[in-house]
Amino acid sequence: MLRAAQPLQNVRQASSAVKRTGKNVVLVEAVRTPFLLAGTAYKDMMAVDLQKEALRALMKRTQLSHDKVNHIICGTVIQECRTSNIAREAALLAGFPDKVPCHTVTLACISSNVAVADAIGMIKSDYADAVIAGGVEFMSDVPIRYNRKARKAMLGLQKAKDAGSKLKIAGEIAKNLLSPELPAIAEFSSGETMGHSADRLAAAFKVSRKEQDEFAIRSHTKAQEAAKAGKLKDIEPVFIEGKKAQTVKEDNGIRVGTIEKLSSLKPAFIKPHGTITAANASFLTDGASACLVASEEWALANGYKPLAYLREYQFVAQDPKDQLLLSPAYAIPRVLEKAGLSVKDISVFEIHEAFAGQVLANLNAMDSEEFCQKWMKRSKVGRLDMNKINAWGGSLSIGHPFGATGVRLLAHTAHRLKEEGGQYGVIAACAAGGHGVGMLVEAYGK
Amino acid sequence: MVIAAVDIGSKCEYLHGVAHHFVDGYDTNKIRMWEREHLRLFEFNISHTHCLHFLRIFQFMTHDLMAEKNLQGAWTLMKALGCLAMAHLRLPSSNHLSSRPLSPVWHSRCSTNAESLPLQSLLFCCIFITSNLSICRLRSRSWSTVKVERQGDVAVLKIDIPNVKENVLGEALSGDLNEAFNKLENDDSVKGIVLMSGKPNSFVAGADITMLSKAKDVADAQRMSSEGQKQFARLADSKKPIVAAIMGSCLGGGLELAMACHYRIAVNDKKTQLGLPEIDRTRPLLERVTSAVTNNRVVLDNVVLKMARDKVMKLTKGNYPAPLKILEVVREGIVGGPAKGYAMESQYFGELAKTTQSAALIGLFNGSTDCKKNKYGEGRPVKEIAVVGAGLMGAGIANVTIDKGIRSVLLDVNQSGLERGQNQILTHLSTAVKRKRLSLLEKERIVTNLEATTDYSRMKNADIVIEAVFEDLSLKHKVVKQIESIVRPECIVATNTSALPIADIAKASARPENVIGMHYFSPVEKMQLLEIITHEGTSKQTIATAAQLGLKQGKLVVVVKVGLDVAEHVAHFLSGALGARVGGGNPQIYTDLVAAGMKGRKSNKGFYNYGDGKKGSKKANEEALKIIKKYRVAAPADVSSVEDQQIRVLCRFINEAMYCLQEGVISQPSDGDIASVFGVGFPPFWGGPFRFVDLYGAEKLVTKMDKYSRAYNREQFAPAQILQDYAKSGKKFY
Repeated sequence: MLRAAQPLQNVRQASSAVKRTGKNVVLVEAVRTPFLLAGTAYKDMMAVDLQKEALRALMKRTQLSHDKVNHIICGTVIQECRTSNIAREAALLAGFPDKVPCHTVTLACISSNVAVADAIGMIKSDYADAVIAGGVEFMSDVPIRYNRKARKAMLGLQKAKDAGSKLKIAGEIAKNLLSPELPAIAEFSSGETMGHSADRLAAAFKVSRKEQDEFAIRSHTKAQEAAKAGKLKDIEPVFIEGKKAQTVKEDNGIRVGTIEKLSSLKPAFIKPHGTITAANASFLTDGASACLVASEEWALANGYKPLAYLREYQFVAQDPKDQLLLSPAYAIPRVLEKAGLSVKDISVFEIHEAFAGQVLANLNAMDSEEFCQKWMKRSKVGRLDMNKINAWGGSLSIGHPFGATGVRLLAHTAHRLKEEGGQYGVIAACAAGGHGVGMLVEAYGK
Repeated sequence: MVIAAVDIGSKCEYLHGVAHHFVDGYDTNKIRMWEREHLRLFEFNISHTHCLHFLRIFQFMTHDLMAEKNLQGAWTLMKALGCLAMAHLRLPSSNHLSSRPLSPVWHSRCSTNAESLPLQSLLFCCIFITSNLSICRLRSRSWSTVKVERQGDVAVLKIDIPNVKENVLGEALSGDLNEAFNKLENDDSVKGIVLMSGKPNSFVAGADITMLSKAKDVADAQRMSSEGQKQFARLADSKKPIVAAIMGSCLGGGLELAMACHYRIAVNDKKTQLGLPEIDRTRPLLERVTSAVTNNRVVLDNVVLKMARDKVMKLTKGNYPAPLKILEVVREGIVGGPAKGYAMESQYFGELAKTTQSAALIGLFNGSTDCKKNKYGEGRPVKEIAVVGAGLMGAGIANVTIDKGIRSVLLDVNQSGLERGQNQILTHLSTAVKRKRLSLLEKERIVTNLEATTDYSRMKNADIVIEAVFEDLSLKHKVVKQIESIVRPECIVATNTSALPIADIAKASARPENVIGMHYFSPVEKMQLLEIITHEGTSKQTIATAAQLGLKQGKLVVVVKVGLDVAEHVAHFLSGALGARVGGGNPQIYTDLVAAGMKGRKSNKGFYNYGDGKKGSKKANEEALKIIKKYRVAAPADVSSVEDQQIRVLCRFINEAMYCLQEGVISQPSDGDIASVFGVGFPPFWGGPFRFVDLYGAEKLVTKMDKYSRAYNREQFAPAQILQDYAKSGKKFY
């Protein structure tokens, strides 16, 4: 109550249409490493190296003194067990003083959205002024384990006393040596892979193969145009040392194909009649991102001109089997409702492209009276203007390092608002477990 | 083998390598077996950086207590490896101690061993001290360099030489130690003794060199050595247990002192450095281990010592006499017994202390110590520098700066040049990580201090900008102007030139008082020397700030004052106006080599074919040899003995050094010596050109030069006036 009574000095109310509480939280700067196909230039690094590069790049770009950062949060999905709190390890490597607390969050493909949401919460609750939120995914190396039987035998070996039982255990280990366990690609709860589920989703919302392929080509084309025009300002080059030293400056997954070529590909999940192929699904990617989130007062006091306001966020969760990837359809209307805005007020949409079919299915769902009535108990949201969606490409073309994508979406939204002169932008993304997020971003100083 | 490396230096890096070799080498099994039989004592963890960290010291100590009877053997093995056990002694409280997993073992074992009870309290006492807990002082007594504090029945001897940073083992200290020790030895209430330093970061840094230089003759030095032996022997033979508690530098004589104690514990910290004694003062350390490894004299002579000797010769080419003597001493200790070994050691010590090599090396030590001091006053603080040009030198300069925690902006006009420089730094640091000199975290934190960019505006916050671009005056002018247009007015502009006069470079500057030369030597990461070159207008503060940075970078700093006349002189030197003094060779040979595309490493062939960079792929380049043959001149026979060849080359360099002193380019002979040894690789065992003249004889050198001048061009070998004067008067530089 006390705080509410205080006048907000130096803080401009950007829009009176939106009710809000607490401090204004801003995005000061967002950077990312170039996103690369797994197994390419980053392949000899570790996830922590990439996250370190992103953190370092952020500090270089903002020229902020390391000790002014109050907290660091990073998102990641497939953990390297040596660096399970990867935020801490990366921050130490990136030169942050050991006095800065760091923690790691995970929520599948929206992990770094969680990091950003945490940062917002920390600032609103007066715990912190400046927080770094980031994320990383490194698909060039994943923890491949001995299978359970072998692991069990190995652990049992310590307890085995006599030679006979030791030998027996050794035999058990040897027997299981060649059938390792890979990181799960299927949903734990349903046992279904994400691609399979997406294929079913696309079919349920009547998204054709052709539409999907076209959407994929659109994504690559838009990304290529944006990259060529130098719009992807969040990219910071990564220098890789070694005998063949090189500086990685751009994403390497953008590849504009022809519709003929794309339609010739075989389905990847549901064979032979599925519609999702390698070309209209996002690929395995290495990459990291980081952004500086701060209170508006702090940003101005430290001489920064923020990129955007971070206004609202809404996490949602659905049935992890039949609506695994349908969360954007729920999240977008809810976050808008929260802010008292309608679809028309939004000039920029950045929707995470896990699969072309998944994005299109979500768009169809929001435009379906039946779906909206049945599942959200409301009238239909309507069709989003395609021109507002992912105008600089998306995860299909730029790539999708699970833990890092959220900040990339944020950077695109903020930069697009500036470039296109819009007021509000919405981020929406789906994630394993039937999760999803919607975030409302407002242009700064407009 | 161990013995070989004992002499190469007191640096722990060598120690590391050697100990590693010993443990992992051909006789590992034998050592292990021996160990098992006698002690089962060590858990080697020879993987740490400068000092050897034996992390499991508590185990070690427990075992050590258990193995009381075998202690002597344990000690010998440790001595042989040149290792001490290192304690992980950062114990915040005694509670912490009792929570250690090892403590039950500790207690049970101690309690079953009545004999070790006083030791237990002794060790606990050490722990209390090192963890800075208050000590209940019952009685205390002090000498000028040694204080004695008592806790219960344990006496704590603290070495603290007043008014110096490092403790050194000199006459005063050894006298005081002796007295204090006598007193404690005869005091029945004292059950055990802890020996430690009163200074936080120096146990004992070694023997006092001035004491050595004071030795009048061979017999005097011999006496010193044998007295030292006796003192250490008394410590070792004491009935009361003595524990050395080590933190900070424990080098040479200091290490011997620690060795002479019965137990050693040390703080596991980077500042704790252990180093073997210098060349001259190595006791017959190896006798027992060697005999344990091999009792067979044939094997000893033909395998162990031969290997050691070969290695010594390979590394020293016979220019350093001490290592070979050490081997003799070791042999004598094994064959003739310790008494004879010790006698021989002090005899050789006396002889070696008075060799020319000893004089030269002591001179270098003093000279380099002098160059590590800041004699130039307080400069402005340097928080950030910029290096323009990311070539070999530029990247090297950035490297030695970021690893001292100073932010450096590395600039280059083109991206590929920048990447090369960046890679040079990162590869260098990664190698240090691979060799465990740095941890990954330390490396990355160093890298954070580096900003590599092609954006020149990024240098705007620099306190010093060092340009290391190509040696071309007009280019340097352009760069200086460009730098000054970006940086703050008080920023120093340093130029890393080896050939161009600073005064000429400063002509382009709007603020010549801020212009200075900082001449690093390649490779910057390794070469210790930094020449700071001033011109007449350079301000004092600029000199002080540049020198301060150089010292921070860990360099030996020599300030060269170059007035206008000398600048002129250097310019003429370059344009060939010195003519005959630098003549004699035919530069056409280089023109031909370059024309044939043999540009050295750059083009992968020059005098050598460098191959693919793998070991052994570098071979002499036959084509280059052909070119050389073309220009070959027959040498006059009477000046071509091996010694003449050596002196002929050397004397011209020395002569130029003489001119430098004569013309005031350098202010004192030791600067010239340091610059020559650390900058251009003058043989260290001769100590530098000035020391060489002293040792070799000015007159003899002048005679030689006269002889060469008759065989060659007169002017090439005309001795500088100062050299002629010294030859006539018999005066010495030192």
